[in-house]
Amino acid sequence: MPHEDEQLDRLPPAIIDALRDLDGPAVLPDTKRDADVLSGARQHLAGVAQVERKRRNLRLFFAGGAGGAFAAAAMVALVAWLGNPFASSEPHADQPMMAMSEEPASPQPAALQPGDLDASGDVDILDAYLLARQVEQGGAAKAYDFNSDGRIDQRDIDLLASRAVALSPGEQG
Amino acid sequence: MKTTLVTIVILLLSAWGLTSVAQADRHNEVPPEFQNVGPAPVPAGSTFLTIDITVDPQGQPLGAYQFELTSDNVGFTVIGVEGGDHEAFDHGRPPYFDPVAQQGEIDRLLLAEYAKPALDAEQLPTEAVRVATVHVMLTGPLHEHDSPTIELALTAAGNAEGERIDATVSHTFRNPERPDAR
Repeated sequence: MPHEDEQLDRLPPAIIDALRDLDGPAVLPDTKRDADVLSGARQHLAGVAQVERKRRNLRLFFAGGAGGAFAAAAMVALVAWLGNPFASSEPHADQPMMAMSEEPASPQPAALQPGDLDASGDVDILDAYLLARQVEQGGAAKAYDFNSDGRIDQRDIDLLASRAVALSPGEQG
Repeated sequence: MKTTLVTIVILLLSAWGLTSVAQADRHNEVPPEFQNVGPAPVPAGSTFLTIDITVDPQGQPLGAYQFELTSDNVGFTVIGVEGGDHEAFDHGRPPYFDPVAQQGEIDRLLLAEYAKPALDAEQLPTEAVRVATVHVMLTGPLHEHDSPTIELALTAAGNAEGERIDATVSHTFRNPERPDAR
């Protein structure tokens, strides 16, 4: 273009040189780098899609009634957890003992009965006395909530003492 | 999602409520041994014994006691139980015992009490003290002897800290008509 050449001729030489440097050989794109970038992007998008699929499946899981099953299972677990600790007078070997769960200070015999605070092997009035002293001092462990009313008070002490004097094991408390 | 969570919370609360009601019912229900059981009948010619029980902690503070009263030759029914002489054990109710003992014939009785937990060792008895009085009705027939045999055994005694101590238990009969009872 002659008109453009005339305009170039009127520019300062430094600018003309800089403009001519711009007219170098065409830069071809690096196809390998493009492929790498494309591959990385695809992997990333595949991961995002997988996460999104899991979320969608989870939503479908809850919306599809499994939430009810989960709630029912939680309900059963809750009922089992709130059961009376005196319901079974014989401790199970695979069941943690109440005294062991909160009072690890002294060595515990293997078959500790529920409420055996002093780990003597029997529930007697001394266990009730220890619990009464703990209640008096305000430091009774939650494991001694024998009537499962959310409080550790005189009723729990009475239950323990009544069990100590029961003529037939498991009849009282 | 939010609806599901709300449903779960409601179900859990319902379960908790149902469990509480069930447990309340269980606490309030009459045990089978007490159902259709009135006061123990008093046969004609029955013998009554009033037994004073004394525990001697042998110089140590007595924080709690438990003993077993047995008879190997006669059954008995508990008519009533009174507390002892020392204020430390006065809770305004009788010592602990199984109410089944008042409903029919038994051959053993467990009786126990602890001191007021707020008391210090200095406020507990350290010498022999009457801890209880047991009123029993003997239910025949007697075996082996004409006189009933009543035995006592201390099964637990503790100091102010609830630690086991050596102590002794003894008893006396108030009834003049049974001086030979031992």
